[in-house]
Amino acid sequence: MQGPESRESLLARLGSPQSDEGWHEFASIYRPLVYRVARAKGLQHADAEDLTQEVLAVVERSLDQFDPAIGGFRSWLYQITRNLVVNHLTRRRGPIGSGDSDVGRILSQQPAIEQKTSTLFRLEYRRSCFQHATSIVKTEFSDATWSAFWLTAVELQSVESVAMQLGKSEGAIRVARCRVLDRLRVFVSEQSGGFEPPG
Amino acid sequence: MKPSDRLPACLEEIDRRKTYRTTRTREPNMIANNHYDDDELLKLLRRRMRDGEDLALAHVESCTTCQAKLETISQSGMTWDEVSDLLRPDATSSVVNFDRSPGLNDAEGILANLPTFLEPTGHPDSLGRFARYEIME
Repeated sequence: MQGPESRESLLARLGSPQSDEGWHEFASIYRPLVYRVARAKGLQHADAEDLTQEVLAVVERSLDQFDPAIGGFRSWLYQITRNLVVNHLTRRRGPIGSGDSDVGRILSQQPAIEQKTSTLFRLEYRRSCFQHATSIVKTEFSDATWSAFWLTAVELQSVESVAMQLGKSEGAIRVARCRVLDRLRVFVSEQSGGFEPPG
Repeated sequence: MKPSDRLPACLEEIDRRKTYRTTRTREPNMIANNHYDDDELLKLLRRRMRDGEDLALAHVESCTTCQAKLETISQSGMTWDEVSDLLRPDATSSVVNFDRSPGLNDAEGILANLPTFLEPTGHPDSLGRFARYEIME
């Protein structure tokens, strides 16, 4: 979503209604991300859910303030969401705010005080990207290929054991899991549009 | 062959390898020692071989050397443990490791409160609930 895409088309993709593909993609990645970071920082389920809703609402209201001159759209989305979450969780300032007039301030705030929460946010962003990719990419593979990947790469069962379960050779299991992992990495890379979260 | 006709030892080795390459290499996409190179393995991973994919697949599935190269290419620096950590539905290991770092408050309480990824549901076809959403598959 960086580069040649115009501001208007970005907003069209990520603006209302929420059923829009772009917004759905954004929410698919950021909703679980914000929730997990909030829970990890000690918020109860309901509070984490409220924070998630509030953050996404502020981001959505702030879309028309994106300025392509200052950088890529994904970077902007990441920064504003991360800063909202980190600042709220570390400073406990109460309501997040209306968004519109606060975007510049939010973006300019460097949450260096809570670098660990920023690091957690980055790790959970990566997790969310891969889990989102998994939900999409899974449909491209046969059940056997997906099982070979999931059982060995995610559940960390031995290749030998999975080969016996699925009635395949160990080599076939290895090839299958490599094909899925390669596809996942390619999908995540394409979806990110070259954006790498800052360390 | 008379002694004076013999090649020096180093050239004999090159000559021997040349013969080996000629006689052992049967597939045009395979490198000299009968394994596929990285480009061909990447094509195999992405099902982009123009022809000979079945042959290549049969070879790789039985060749531990090519399998090892295939894993290196597909992982691109990731470990299988990292893949597992990223994709486990209730994965909290990075969170756990993070919050076990010194200097954070209430780490034990946070760990005790970490949820499973999906909440219980009464919907018969749902795997569980995430926030207000039913996760159907």
